[in-house]
Amino acid sequence: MNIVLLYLELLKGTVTTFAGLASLPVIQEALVNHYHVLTNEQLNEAVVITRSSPGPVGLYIVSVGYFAAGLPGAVVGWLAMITPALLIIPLVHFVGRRMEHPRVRAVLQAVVVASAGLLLAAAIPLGRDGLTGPVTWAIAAVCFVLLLTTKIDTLWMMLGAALVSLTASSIGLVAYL
Amino acid sequence: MSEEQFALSFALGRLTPGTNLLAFCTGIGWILRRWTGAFASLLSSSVPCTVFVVFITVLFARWQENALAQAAIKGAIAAAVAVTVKTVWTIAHPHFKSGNRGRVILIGAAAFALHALAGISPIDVLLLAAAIGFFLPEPS
Repeated sequence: MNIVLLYLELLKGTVTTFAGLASLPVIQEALVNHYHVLTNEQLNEAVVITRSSPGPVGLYIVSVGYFAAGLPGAVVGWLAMITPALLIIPLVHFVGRRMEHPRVRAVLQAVVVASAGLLLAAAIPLGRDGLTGPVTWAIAAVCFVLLLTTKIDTLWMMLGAALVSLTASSIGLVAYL
Repeated sequence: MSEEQFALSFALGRLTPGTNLLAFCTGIGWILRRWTGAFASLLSSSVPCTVFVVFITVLFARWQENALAQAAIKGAIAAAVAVTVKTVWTIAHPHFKSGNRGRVILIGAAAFALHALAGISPIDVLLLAAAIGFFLPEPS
């Protein structure tokens, strides 16, 4: 895939959403469904990598870029991640407090909530690819409950899930993963 | 910088597309040292963690043939699916306030249905949401 096109597709995801993983549906639509340079499994792996390392969640774009086009892809992923941050300069300089206008806030709120709905839709194919047996379903269910009810860091959750899966595999439960 | 400038950068960082943390840092850099400060802040807040993520991603790509690593990755991916679904709530719940819940559920459910069931692209759904937000402001 052309590196400039990859940058533009990743940028389309980051510049139209307001939270780390919220750009995932846009990226999935472009790179998985349209250009076929990425799989849902790699998208899942990008989330795993980002949640297991320091830094913002939006970093998953860097892994996505790497999976799609190697190191140059990682570089354009980084560029696509940082480009929207520059938009705060005109906001601070010219807009300032006017961002509190009710209509502006209503637009932003609608976009943020819609991005949550889109993320739920994007989770369906990710789940289909990632949850392939009773063990992985159980891991996901337990993690989901823990995420809702505790403040355990996702890094430990990922490591715990990996350990459970590894143990299941080593005692001959590979078919149930 | 003053507390007011800090608060302004924080608030606008939340309203800037993309990764809020990077926008927040860039805003602080801009307020303190204009372009030099903005770029210094943006680079220092994004480059180290990016290098780390690239390193881990390269390892992931190399572990594709290792059965043990694959078994561990499968478990971690299952956890990642849970994280993704939980993020839906993380994004939506600050807006899920009394008097506004119906609107949030309606917009969120409509976005889900338009993309998952009707096959409308995410960008079009987001543009539609922006139009709804513009013409139907939230009740005060």
